[in-house]
Amino acid sequence: MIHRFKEKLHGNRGASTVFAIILLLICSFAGSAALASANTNISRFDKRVEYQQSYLSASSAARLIIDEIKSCEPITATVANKNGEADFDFAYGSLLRPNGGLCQLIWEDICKITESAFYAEADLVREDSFDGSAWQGMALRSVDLPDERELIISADDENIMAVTARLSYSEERGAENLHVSLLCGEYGLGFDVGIEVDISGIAPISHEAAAEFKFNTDRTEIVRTDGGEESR
Amino acid sequence: MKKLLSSRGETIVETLTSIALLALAMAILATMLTAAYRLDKSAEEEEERLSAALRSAELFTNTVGSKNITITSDSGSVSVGVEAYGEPNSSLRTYKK
Repeated sequence: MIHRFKEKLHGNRGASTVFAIILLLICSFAGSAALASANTNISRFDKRVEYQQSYLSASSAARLIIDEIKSCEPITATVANKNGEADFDFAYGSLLRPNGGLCQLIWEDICKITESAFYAEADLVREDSFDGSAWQGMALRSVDLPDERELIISADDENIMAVTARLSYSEERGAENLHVSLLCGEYGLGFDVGIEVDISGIAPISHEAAAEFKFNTDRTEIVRTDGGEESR
Repeated sequence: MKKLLSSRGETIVETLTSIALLALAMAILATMLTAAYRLDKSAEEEEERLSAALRSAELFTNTVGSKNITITSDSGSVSVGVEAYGEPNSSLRTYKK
């Protein structure tokens, strides 16, 4: 019987079941291909949502970094530096007053010292080193500042992805010499922060207002002076 | 069985079998094509929703509340308050101060 059935299958008289079976297979393949294609579209879409969120998180982080740095008030402040002898030199630096945000973390990195060749050998002194003073100064540098700093920027929203930011500084420091590269998932971007601080432009006002700092007589701490007199 | 073994009328059996197989093939194809069409349609709708959410997030047109951004470095961490933007029915979010 099987032989007979095979014969009929291979018979060339009338409609052959073989053709129907072949057609069934072709239809199944065509249907599978259409389904697979539609499925690929859906999975690609999911991937695209993830990529778009990476892009949005990275661009938001970039905007935040720029806003944070730009919100720092550029000031001219007198900076004190021990010159290796008994005297102290004072110079004006282009500093950014930290506003409690990002600049609080990277303030020392981005504050530029005008005469970097000499005064780069100094530490910046934070505002909290002075009693109630709104100004910053610097003292002899005790630690080497890093050429790069890595930041993790994360949010208390599960939809916003964490971003890794790498801040690279040039030797001159200063916010205008800051290169930022951001990485979030598969998305990365890099940009330069170009904040120009015009010393001459703000000097006339700031010169009057600027506090001067110098070491106290024991050389144990930096003190603020007003008009040459030590305030404490 | 008789018809199968008989040398006469075999084309009718074959034809009926073929029609049944053809119907099955068409049913399978139609089901798969319909499913594919539905998937495609839903992908298209998702795409439109994604575009709208992306537009809303990028242009800051719809706020979804205040969030805190934490910036951490090896020297410590700070928290910055921001406003998050996006569509409530989408996971796409952006933020700014």
